[in-house]
Amino acid sequence: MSKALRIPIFYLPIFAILILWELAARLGLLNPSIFPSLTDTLVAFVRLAEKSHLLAHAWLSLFRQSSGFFLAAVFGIVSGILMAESRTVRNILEPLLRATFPLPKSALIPLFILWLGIGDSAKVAAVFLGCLLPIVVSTFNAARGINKQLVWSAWSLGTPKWLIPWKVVLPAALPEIMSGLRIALALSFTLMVSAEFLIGQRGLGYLISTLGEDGDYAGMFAAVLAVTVLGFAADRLFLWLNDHLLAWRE
Amino acid sequence: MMKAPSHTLWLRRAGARYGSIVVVLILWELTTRTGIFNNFLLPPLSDVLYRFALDFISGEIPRHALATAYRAAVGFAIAAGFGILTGGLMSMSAVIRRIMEPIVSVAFPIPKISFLPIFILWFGLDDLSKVLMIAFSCVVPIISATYLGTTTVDKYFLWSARNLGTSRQALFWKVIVPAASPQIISGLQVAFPLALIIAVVTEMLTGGDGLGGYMIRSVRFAQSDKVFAGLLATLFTGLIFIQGFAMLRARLLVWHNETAVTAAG
Repeated sequence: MSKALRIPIFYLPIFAILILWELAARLGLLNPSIFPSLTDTLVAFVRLAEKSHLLAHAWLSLFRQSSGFFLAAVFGIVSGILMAESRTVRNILEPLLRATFPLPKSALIPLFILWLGIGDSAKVAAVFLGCLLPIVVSTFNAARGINKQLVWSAWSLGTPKWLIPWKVVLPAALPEIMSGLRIALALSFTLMVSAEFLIGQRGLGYLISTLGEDGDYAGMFAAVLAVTVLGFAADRLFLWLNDHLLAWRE
Repeated sequence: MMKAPSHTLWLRRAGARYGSIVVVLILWELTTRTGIFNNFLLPPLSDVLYRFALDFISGEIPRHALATAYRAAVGFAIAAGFGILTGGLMSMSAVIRRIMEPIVSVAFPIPKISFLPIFILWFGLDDLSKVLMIAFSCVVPIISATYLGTTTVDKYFLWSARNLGTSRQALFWKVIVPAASPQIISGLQVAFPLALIIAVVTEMLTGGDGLGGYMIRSVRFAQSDKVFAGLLATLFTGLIFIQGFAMLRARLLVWHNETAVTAAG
């Protein structure tokens, strides 16, 4: 099988679902007032792009999601590595992590409304804190699980002690860190949309809920489709990046 | 290392386990009492605990916590049943695997919460839309964990069972599912926090009962002590579920090596 065909063939069931959706709508099996057809949704998508600044909403959402996610990645990886390497840092952070871990992260949204109001910063903060914990925990576990011989060899070859966490531990733990980041990436989209549902103006979550309140259900489906495509594209971009970053393995 | 007398050892262990939490809580109380922090934005810890106690005794917090816990548990149970079955079937049948693999791979990264307004449109503002939203969000990680767990079951188990004349159905329920149960339960443990996250968000959006509704109403009425009391109640709800899961895991996997290890360590 040629490579160009493999991907479309793999996704065949997805296309089948889309065709079934359209067929069911055409055959009148779906109530058109609450379940628009695929073509109606796509038409609404074009309309939103032309008239309702869909792109501007999407950029804003992506900005909130990615700034929260990147901040969480940087802080999370650094503190996870430090926790694994330093007993003092571990003694300080581990109890706090254990105490806050059971909190469902979306419960922080009201707190950020209280603290930061309804602007961008509340949404970025919700994404940041929500993603931070899972990243710290997965980095910590990954860094603790690496082969200790790597550290010993680097040490005996004269690597300065302060460089070992960043030059040895981090690269060795990277595959596991990346799988933690992938889960956090999906969570970042969930938190972004949830926060936008709840607070403020603009953004895809806001667009979905206002279109729904206006009774423009085809538009609402189109905006949901936009979020879905973004989340999916971000994940595939991440996987591509992952393969390139980890190309040195094996 | 020199062996410390047992009572100081206990103290040191407690210090390492809870020390920084205690420090943070004391700092919280001191900074708010001395007016370094605005008491509206950060009410003193003692005020929050007092509010928590009042709303707990009045029955408000228990009622909301039970509503949230109920929705999360029902939605999660649906996801678990459906997810384990689907994941298992994927490893048993090539056709089902062929159909489900792309669906799972697309459904994994998409923010399923964005479907919530659609669910509300279809199933109303009541429990049904919330429970289904929770199930929809949790099912994907459970399917993939079950699929991974059941495909990597030791082939010798399968061969010996087949040799002894086990039927296909019995093979699935009596051999494959038990052998894959550590991975399946890990998948359930990973998916469960999602159930609470989604439960809280759906409640915030639709108002009504549940801890999410309690907190979002408190923000709108500018009752910041209630926001924190709600956070505390949500934390405890999560804690109870997570502890329950850990106990269930230890009980169900009593035969497995990992239980012996954790019991010893």
